[in-house]
Amino acid sequence: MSRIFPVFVSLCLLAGPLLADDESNFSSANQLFENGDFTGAAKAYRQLAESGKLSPELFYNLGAAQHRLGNEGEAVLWMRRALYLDPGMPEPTQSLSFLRTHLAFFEFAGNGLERFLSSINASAFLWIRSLALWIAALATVAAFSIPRLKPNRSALVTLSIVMLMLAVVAWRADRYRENRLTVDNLATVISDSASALTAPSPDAKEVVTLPPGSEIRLLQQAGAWTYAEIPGELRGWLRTETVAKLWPVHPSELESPES
Amino acid sequence: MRFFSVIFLFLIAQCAPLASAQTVDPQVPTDDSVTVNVLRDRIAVGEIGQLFIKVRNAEASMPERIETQGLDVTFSGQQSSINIVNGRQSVETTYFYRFRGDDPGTFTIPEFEIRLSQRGGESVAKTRPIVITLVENSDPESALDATKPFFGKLELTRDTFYVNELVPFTLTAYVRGRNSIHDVVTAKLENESFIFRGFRDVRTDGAEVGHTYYSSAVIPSHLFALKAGSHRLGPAQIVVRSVDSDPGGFGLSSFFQRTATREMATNTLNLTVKPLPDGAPASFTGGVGDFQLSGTPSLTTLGIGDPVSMEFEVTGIGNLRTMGAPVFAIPQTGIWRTYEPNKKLNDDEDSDGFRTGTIRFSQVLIPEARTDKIPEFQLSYFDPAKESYVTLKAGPFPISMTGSASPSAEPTAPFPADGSSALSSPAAPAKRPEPRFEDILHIRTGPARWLAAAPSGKPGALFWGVQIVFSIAFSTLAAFGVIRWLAWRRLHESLQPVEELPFARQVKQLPRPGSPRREFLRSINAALAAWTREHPDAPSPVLEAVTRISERCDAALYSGQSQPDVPISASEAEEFLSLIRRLPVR
Repeated sequence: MSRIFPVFVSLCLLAGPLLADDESNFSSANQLFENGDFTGAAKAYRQLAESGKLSPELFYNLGAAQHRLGNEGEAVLWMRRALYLDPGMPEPTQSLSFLRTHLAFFEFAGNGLERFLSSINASAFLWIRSLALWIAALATVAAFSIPRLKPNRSALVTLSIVMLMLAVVAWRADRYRENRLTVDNLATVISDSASALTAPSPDAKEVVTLPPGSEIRLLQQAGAWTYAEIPGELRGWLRTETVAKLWPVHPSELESPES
Repeated sequence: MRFFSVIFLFLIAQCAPLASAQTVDPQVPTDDSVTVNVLRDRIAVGEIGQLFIKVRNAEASMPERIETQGLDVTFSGQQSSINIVNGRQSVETTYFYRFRGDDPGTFTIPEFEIRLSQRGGESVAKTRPIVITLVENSDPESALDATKPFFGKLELTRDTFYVNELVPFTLTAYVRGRNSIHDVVTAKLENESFIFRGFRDVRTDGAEVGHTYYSSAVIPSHLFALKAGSHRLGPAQIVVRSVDSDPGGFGLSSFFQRTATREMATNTLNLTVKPLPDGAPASFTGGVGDFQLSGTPSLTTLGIGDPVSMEFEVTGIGNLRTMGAPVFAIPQTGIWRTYEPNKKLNDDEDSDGFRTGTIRFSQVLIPEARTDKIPEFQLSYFDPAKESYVTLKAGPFPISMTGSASPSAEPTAPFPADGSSALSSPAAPAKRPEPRFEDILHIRTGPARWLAAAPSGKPGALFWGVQIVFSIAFSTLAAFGVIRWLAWRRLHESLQPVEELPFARQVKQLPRPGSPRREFLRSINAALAAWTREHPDAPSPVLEAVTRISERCDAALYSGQSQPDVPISASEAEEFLSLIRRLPVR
């Protein structure tokens, strides 16, 4: 114990200046944005993200800068990444509402319920399920173990049944979220002129035109072409460079356009 | 009438040798009784020529058609005349054929055999071949030929234009003489590479051609091309009813005006049709010309799922009939559902290439999501004068969704301007303004949250701590319940009736002297009950003795005296045990 404490103190002393440096760079990028230098702001935000920093504010601001530069697909992508880090963050939620109206992109979470489910943290369902099961178990045991609670036994049994039903609902919602709304293999169309084709060939027929910001689910990658599931029970082949995976952030995306 | 026909045929018979002298090749041998002639052996493409076959002193059976490559030669009628010269009578029958061709060149009406019936019997005569030259007349001015009693002319305003460009043209029929044209029967111009419209209005006029006055009928029309490339247009066919200028009988004008049908062909035109340039905008719907666009929605207040009709009006000069409706500038998938637009174009409002026309489009839209406007529509067309595409715009059109108020249209006033209380006002309650998403939110300028890792969805230490607390609580309650259940079960077992045991076993289990007196007496009582149950036919003195012992036990157990459960003395215990041992056992 006497050895661990000095090491911990040393790490804290080292981490403090590093975090202060990131905060300073973030503030500088914000200042560039405020001055109307969106290209410079986007570059500064990218450098922070390139260094492996994870911050919903950083990702949102990078999305906003991309929007000002006219890169609508990139803007939607980074705002979705901000929401992935903080599902309850209001700024990307509201800005995506505007971009949804403006761009008319495709989304898997098409209705309000699906958007609500996708906005809830994954562990929240586990918490709900766990608490409901424990309350049901405790109510049942207390009803039959404590003689003083014998007059309330029927109420306690009813509470147990309700809690068991809540646990089942939470389990089903979690399953639905995992199967339909999970970010695994989820990608965003970042090109302004992307189309899903019937085959991995430029001469193939078009399935549908995908507005920038459209969500797709990657199924298979074959060189320069990617086979994807498209909202609306559709499938098609897209050029790989027209899409970017939502998570994890691919290192090649963090390279600034100038480089 | 027959008299006039005879005179006419007589005149033709007199003129025929003259015509024959101009057209008949003297080297070609002919049969004396059959002569073949044409009025003109050089005619324009589409023009109708006349072929005469004269038969003397015989009856002939003539074919309906004479098969000729490049020419359509059909029988059109016959006339006969009787001549008496120096007391000799001769009969001459003239058979008329009309011919026309669509392509320039030299064509030959071949010789063919004619079966003749004469008084002396039947014979066969042979005609001679006739060479016809069809010339292409592509100059409208050269179509004006004063040597002809009637002719037609085809004129276009320009000979080079774009695909789908509306080009006016005129068909004009000329008939020699003043007021010679009674009316136009038909006007026909066909070409599969063009669409022709018009042919409705006819304007009569007159003009002097080669010092001869001609009446004219002008038929304005318009066309547009479907295919790019070089095309030959015409000749058009015009059929007019003209006033017959032949004098009446005996050189006097006829009292009644007579009309005759004249069919004439126009000149041809060589045209160049250019394709539309590449790079058409997405909103290009085929329009070529010069247009203006206006649009209005039928409703400005509606709810999600309510249909609204967009009414567009396109005015201008161009191909209104073939152009499409305006389209959304940006696709509105998921926000607006669109239906196939309706097109309305009255014939009297169509553009003819000179006049401005109007076409109306009506398209039904249904909002599928909440929005505050009908987005902008665009209509692109190709302007031949500028040789570039032009994009017209209509909208966006602000709308109010049902149950909400547009802040700009209906600003809410939470407090009256005169300072009176808003709550006391009888006016309608103010509506809550709807949010409007017109731009993204500004960046977050505060300090950022730097996360060590992305959320994995796995529970943390707090989750497991809570699980432990709940487990302890559950285990405690469950253990308490189990303990209570075990105690209850033990008590239940202790209350099990011992009478069921056999007498011998109960005797063995009798408490020893010194054990609680009540427990000892209860065991004695149970043993005696077992003996009585096992020996129902025992002698009555023994049963009476057993009953007395049992009553003694009952008296001690259930007398109501609250004596403490003292140990039974050895002597009292021995007294009961000796009585039990003396009972006979089966």
